[in-house]
Amino acid sequence: MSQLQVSPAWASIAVGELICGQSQEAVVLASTTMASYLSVPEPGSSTPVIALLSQDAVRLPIGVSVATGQLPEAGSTARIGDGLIVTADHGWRPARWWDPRPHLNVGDLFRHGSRLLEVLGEQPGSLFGLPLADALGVADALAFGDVGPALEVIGLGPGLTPAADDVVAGALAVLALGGRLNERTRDAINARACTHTTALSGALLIAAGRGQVISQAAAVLTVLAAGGPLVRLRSVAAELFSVGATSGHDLCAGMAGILARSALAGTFCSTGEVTTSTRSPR
Amino acid sequence: MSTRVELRPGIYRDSVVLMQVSQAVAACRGVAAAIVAMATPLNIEIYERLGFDPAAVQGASPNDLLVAVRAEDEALDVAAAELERLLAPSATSHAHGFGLPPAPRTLASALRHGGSLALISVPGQHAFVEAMDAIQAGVSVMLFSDNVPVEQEIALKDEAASHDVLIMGPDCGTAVVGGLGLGFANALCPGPVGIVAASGTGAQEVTCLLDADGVGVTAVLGVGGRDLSAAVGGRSTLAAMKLLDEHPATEFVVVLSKPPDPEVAERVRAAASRLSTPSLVAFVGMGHGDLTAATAQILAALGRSSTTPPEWSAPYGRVPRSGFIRGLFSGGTLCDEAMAIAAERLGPIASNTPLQAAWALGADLRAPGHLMIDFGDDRLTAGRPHPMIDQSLRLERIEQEGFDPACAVLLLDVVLGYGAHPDPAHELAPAIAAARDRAHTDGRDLAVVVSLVGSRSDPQGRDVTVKSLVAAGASVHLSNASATRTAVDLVEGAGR
Repeated sequence: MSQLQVSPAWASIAVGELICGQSQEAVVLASTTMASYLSVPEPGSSTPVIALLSQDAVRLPIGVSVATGQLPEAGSTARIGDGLIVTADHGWRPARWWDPRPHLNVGDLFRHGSRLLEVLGEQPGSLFGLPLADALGVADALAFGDVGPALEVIGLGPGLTPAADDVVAGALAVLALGGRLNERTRDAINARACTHTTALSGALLIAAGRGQVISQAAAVLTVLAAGGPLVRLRSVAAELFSVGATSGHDLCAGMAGILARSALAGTFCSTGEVTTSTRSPR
Repeated sequence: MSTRVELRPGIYRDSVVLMQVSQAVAACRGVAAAIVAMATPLNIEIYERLGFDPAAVQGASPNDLLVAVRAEDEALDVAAAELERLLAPSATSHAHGFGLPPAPRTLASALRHGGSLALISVPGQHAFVEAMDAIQAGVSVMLFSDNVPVEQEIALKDEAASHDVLIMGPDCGTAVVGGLGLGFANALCPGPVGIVAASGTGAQEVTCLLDADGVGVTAVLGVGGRDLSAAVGGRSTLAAMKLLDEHPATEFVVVLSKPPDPEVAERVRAAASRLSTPSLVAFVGMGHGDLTAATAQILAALGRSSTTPPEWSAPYGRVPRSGFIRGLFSGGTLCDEAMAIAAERLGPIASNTPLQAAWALGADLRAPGHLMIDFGDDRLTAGRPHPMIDQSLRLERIEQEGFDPACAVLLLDVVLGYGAHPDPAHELAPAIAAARDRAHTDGRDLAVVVSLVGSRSDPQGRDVTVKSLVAAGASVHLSNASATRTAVDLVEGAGR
């Protein structure tokens, strides 16, 4: 029997507990050329899905990026735990970790945040899975602590991450980053996410409730917080819009809906410094 | 009427594809209703509203793909076949989960597409690994990142030498390779001059002055501001000189830097003397020549008679006035050059990047006398884009200087070209006009002198920029040295 080949991987810290915990069996829910989504149905696991991502895939907050080895097929099984992800013919051990929660100055984010709606408004309506007005309505309600409209739309949309879920995730993430997501709202969304949408989308909603987002969304929020020029904001927003068919637009709509609530500006406390790469041409 | 309902676990297609499949199947002749979606409760509700049987999806999981078609008996098979065709992975271009990103997301995947140069711009702490990967793949590197430790810089440059590739940087902001401007670079014509530069804005100034005289470049190879230090020893400079010497279209090699470590300077001069291509080693700064003088030397070596760099005068009198120069720069080398020129005639120039330690500005960037600020200094760019892109800090300071009775002359640089602000004059001209108006209200004639780094073909439009700045009341000079001397002339000899 040949020895299992184990390759290094780069994992989100959002799935660190799961990978480093006790070994559990996982089922591959779905598989594409870019990713395989592994579900761990054990109760008590805070993140029930891990996305095994090829290097070129969008880096999901529940993702593990791998460079070698075949992504497992839908319906097959794997084991996750003891620091490893193991399929029938390959294993991956995270050697590096990334934090999917952007580190930024929340006060500055809300001070400049309404500019995102301006950029979003330049996008054709056909690129949104959920009509923009509806999306902003859901986000607006969440901004005022009304979870009802969000609960009503979770699971709405045909895809593996329904469009409405993307909207709710964007809104949740911004609320969480701002320290304004109350436990009641989070618990209600999490409960709904476990029953009313796909496992992958549910896991992304739970991650969003912790302020964890895809890197393209983190980049948009970081540029907003830094007060960068509109041309730079458009550039990073374009990267976000290119995610999925409508996911990037819908996620952005949820984020923009919260940020447009400029009345919230100034009520957020800072959670850290902006980290932006800068250089000095001399 | 017949119905077909299926739950398919493990199947994933993109949202838009699923909607398109639903619509296409529903549009087939004889089809009454169709839905293809993940079996979430809300989608099952839609399914039920379309009249499908709830019992058929008992036990459905949101992770299942729900496929339901109702059609006339004879049409159902055709619709089902169409559905299968559209759902087949080959029929969709979006079977990639969250979709293909617009470009490779890692260096390794980018290198799989081929290429001979990697441009790396990641935070400094991650730059070493990326640059080393590229070098070991046999690819030259332009390393835009700063904050790379010097020992890592040395290791990268030694590794590059062993793989016979060039590493430009770290902290290399300007390069022109194969006619393509990288980072902050101007639109330049092809020509005979090859430049090795340890100074990004210095290289931009020289190439734009050459452009004004109709002389183009073969390449501008940046090496990073620290390459000519004693520790790094000019590793990239010497490698780049060799590359240009071997380049058949390069007729003249120029090495451009602030005054380096003396031993390294000797090594570079010795290497230049061994080149088969004529060359000029130009160290610019305090006690040395300036960039405009270096450009004149290049033109002379090429047998061209240099013309006076263009300038466009503002309508204010060239009479000395009481007060001080306030230089607000985005280019570090331009600020250094202006300070060196001004200090020779005016004495101490306070700065956040001072020529002498005793002239250092405090954290408030205030001083009662002459001062020059480099807004591109690392301490002023934390958390914001470089001032060549984001002028907001400088605009605020221009406004404040309009109120300061001690400010007699504002000296500014404006850098055009790729990577820079798409229309700097659009923001600067109103700020200049407002500051002059404010000063005029207080009975002062505030002079504004602009050093413009731009080529005739830059995307912002050099002439349009000039027109806008002059209309706002600025005197515009293509030579930074000339702009500085004009500013000095305006305050020198006047009573304080």
